[in-house]
Amino acid sequence: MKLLCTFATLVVATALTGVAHAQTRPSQVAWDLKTVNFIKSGQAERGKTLHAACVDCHGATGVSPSPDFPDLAGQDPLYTYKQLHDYKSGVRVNAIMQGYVAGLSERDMADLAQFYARQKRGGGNATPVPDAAAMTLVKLGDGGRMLVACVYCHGVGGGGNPGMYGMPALEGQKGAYLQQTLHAFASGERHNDVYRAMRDVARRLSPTEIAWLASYYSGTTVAPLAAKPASVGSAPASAPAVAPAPDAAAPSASEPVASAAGSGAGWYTPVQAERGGKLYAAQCAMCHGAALGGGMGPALAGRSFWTQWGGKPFAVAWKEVHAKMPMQAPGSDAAPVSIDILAFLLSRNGVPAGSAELNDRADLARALPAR
Amino acid sequence: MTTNIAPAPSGRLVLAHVWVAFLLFGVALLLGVYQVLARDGVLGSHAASYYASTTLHGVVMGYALTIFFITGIGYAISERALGTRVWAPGLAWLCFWVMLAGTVLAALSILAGKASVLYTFYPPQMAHWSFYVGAALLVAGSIGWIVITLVMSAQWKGAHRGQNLPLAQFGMSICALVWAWTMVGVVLEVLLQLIPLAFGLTQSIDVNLARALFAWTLHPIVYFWLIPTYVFLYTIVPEEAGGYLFSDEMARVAFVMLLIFGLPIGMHHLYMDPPHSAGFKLLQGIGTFLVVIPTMLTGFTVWASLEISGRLRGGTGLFGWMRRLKWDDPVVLAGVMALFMLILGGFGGLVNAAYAQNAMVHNTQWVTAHFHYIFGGVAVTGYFGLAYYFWPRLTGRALWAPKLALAQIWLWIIGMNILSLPWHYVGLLGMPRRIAYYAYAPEIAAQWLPWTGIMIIGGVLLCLSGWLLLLILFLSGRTLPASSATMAGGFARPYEATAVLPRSLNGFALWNWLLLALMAMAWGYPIVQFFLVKQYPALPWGFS
Amino acid sequence: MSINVYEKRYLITVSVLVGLMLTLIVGSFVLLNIYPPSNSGETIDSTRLHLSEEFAESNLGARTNPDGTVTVRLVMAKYLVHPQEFTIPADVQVTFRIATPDVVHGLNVPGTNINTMVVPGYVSQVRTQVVFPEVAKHGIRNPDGSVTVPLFCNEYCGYGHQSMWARVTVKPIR
Repeated sequence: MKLLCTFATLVVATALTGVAHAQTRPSQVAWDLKTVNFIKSGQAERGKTLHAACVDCHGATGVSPSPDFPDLAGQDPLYTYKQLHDYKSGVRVNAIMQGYVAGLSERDMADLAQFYARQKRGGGNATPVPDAAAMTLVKLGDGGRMLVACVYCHGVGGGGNPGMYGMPALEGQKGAYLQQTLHAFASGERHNDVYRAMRDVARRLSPTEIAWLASYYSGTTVAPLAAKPASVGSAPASAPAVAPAPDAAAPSASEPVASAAGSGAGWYTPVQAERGGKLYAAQCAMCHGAALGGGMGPALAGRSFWTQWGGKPFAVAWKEVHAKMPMQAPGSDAAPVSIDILAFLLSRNGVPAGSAELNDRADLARALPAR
Repeated sequence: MTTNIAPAPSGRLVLAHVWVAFLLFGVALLLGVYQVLARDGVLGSHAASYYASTTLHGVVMGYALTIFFITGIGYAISERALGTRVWAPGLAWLCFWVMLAGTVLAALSILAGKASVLYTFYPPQMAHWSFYVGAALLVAGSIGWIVITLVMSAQWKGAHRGQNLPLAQFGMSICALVWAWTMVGVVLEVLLQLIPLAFGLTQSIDVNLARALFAWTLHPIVYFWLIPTYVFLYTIVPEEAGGYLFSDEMARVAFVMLLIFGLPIGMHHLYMDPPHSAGFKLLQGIGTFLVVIPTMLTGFTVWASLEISGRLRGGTGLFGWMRRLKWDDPVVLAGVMALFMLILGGFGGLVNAAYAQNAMVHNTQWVTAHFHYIFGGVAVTGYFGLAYYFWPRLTGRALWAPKLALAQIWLWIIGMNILSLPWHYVGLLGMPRRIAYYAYAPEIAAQWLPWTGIMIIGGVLLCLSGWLLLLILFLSGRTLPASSATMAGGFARPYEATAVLPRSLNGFALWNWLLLALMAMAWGYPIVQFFLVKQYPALPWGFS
Repeated sequence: MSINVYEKRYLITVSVLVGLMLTLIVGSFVLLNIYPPSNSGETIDSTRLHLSEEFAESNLGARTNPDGTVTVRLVMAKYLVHPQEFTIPADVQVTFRIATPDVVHGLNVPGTNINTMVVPGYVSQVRTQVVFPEVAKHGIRNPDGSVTVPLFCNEYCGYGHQSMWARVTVKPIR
């Protein structure tokens, strides 16, 4: 009992201090033959008995009564087992779940997993979202962001993938829960995915896209959430500050999270921003929306902007825009054009104007303000 | 040696095989067009259908077309060369049905989307068991042809002591031996590893052992595909062209070298695999360069034979005789074109064989371009020539529209070049192979675009050519009876009369023993190591 | 057995040419240490890869060794490369060590000779130097003068194969 308390305290303490510590400890579940066979041999009848303790939150048949608690019915048994195991070992952090799994043995987890696997899935079917960009993301991913399509791991319609090990089915899962989960992966708060598989996917998604995916898989409508702000210890959009290994050849640290210089001074001139606005309308609006609200490409104003670039050196934004855009001919814009477009974007996001034009030399190291 | 015989006694047997081969070929060509369009994004991007298509296209072109065509035409060549009937036609027919059943089973499995593991079926990605069983039946059925061919050779030699086994039969016997030795690797892999895993009798698989066994098969199979075309080039084309075979002995030497140097060199397909040491890779790399020699020999002998025919028809000058070749004969045209493509495509092979250069092209589209060029441009062109040559002799009817046959061949060669040459280039630009579309790295993918667009034209031309072939052959069974001049004519006579050959060039025992030693040297340790050193087997995975 | 004199000459020429090519290859093997990537001794349990010491998630990416060379540790899994982005210097010896927890993958960086198979059960290793002008042809230039090239999976690994890639930034050594 004392051990359990110490353990629980450690876990809670870790959760409170942020993710940095626990991130170095990966999930202890590996898909070797022994584990896979062990889980396969789980007994659903025994699991049903154990499941009595879970009914209040997860429902009598594994279909949860609350939108915040996930359905467990019909879920891949390897996945269910892994989550229970990760909760117990503290790799997946949740104060409520930690308490419930503390008393479970691995045999119990296998039995529970098999029980839930045999329950009928609740929820509706995956329903296409009106935005075409959402369905592209699901079925084709996004090459430019190195995002693989969701269907290849989670199956067509999110039905799961028996050809892989421990891939969760998503179809009919609670929309709010899906959204929370993606945000948790994006910020690194949830980190029991092996080799950052979901973290690297989620952190490249905008809150709007996360809401689309949650809507699609749950078959309901989910409104976008505010993104967790980029904070010390979480994974920002490019080279992470908690990178596992420091980049070997970067004499200067790659993309420090925040630097004091330049966050308050002006960044561009109003004339420059106006020029940029015209260029934007001609080149970017067709994908990113006339009001920067997104479309085929992500939104460029508001939370989308701040999650990606807030608090970081301007070089990050410069690289994204100048080298990788426009999508169909990356790097084809001359530097003055890209700079003006960026000035316009800054102006639309409330970054202060000044008396000097934005340029692609001195301003690179300046950190944008954070929100 | 000239033989005048009536329409082949085993006409129906041969035609059954060849029709199955070419009908499947027609389907696979359509799949090829789908693929070249899909990869360029023209038809939208669907990975599942692309990979199923690639699997079916590869299995049909690499296994079904070849096995059915080669065994079928092999029976025709053996009968004609030896002047005897096919030995044990009942066995031949039984094997035909086994092969067909296997092909249908595997094809259904692929079409159902349950076997998208491509024609190299690299584990631990696993298909449904019906795919492996179907493939096993297809290969098992071809063993009948091996036995029949070798028995016919032995029987002929027994009845004609002291005489030279006719070159065409010598070549087809070598082909049968090549296939027999080649199939061991994939048969072991499929029977002992893949099928048990597919049925759940085992729960894990030594992936690297499977890859080594498959690599055993993966190179020499191309000689199984090519030797019938070489037989065509040596023994049929010179006669059809109105000339002589330059050298009977050197043709035999080339066949023998293909057998002994073509088998123990599959490791160049494993150049990039960790488990094999640099030493063995170098050893098999050296062997790969040695097999260049019989290919170069073939080039010389066939070129010289064509030159004889050109000069006999009044050609003069260092290259001017080429104008006097029988360009209006589809059989000769096929032969000349196959030789031309062999010369060009061979250089790509040198790049692949040299491992330092291979590092730049491994698993890029260069590799795919290379084997389409060699297989489609050389082997299949030879198959067209064989089909046009044998059709009247099998059906007793004249070829329908020989001019259209010429057009069909030209269309094929032009299409193959338009498809393949840009394909080599995008491989050098880094485009990976076996991708359903390219949504990545906009910065580099943009470089590939104009070339992959051009390839579409090549693909469409090839498909048209293939379907034109089907049309010509179909209508050829229904037109005028063949002339006796067509029905007569036999295999090419050598320019200088062949003396009695040494036993080594008239029989196979010595070469089989030598090959056993070479295989033990090249593959002995590389395969046995997986039983001596502790391995960590992998779990089976799906492909989706 | 008689061989025509022209054919004899041709045979000798061809054999000499093949011999020359082989001399080049064997010579480069012995003298210049050029050989295909090979790592025959190093087996690894792929099914427990993320729990191994070397290929744990926190150990992946590029690291400079004490002797100035660089080691890059990658994991290729269906359908992601880990890490997805990393930086290496040009003209410095770089050793790539790669493993997979699932099926056969391939790894290729255009503009370099980094091209190898990644098979379950073994660690793949490629030791080379990246030549800056060559990668510059295949990548995009960044404002700080470095070049970012793609790194592809180039062996069919399933339906997601065509999406599996990473970005390598190469910094020139001035």
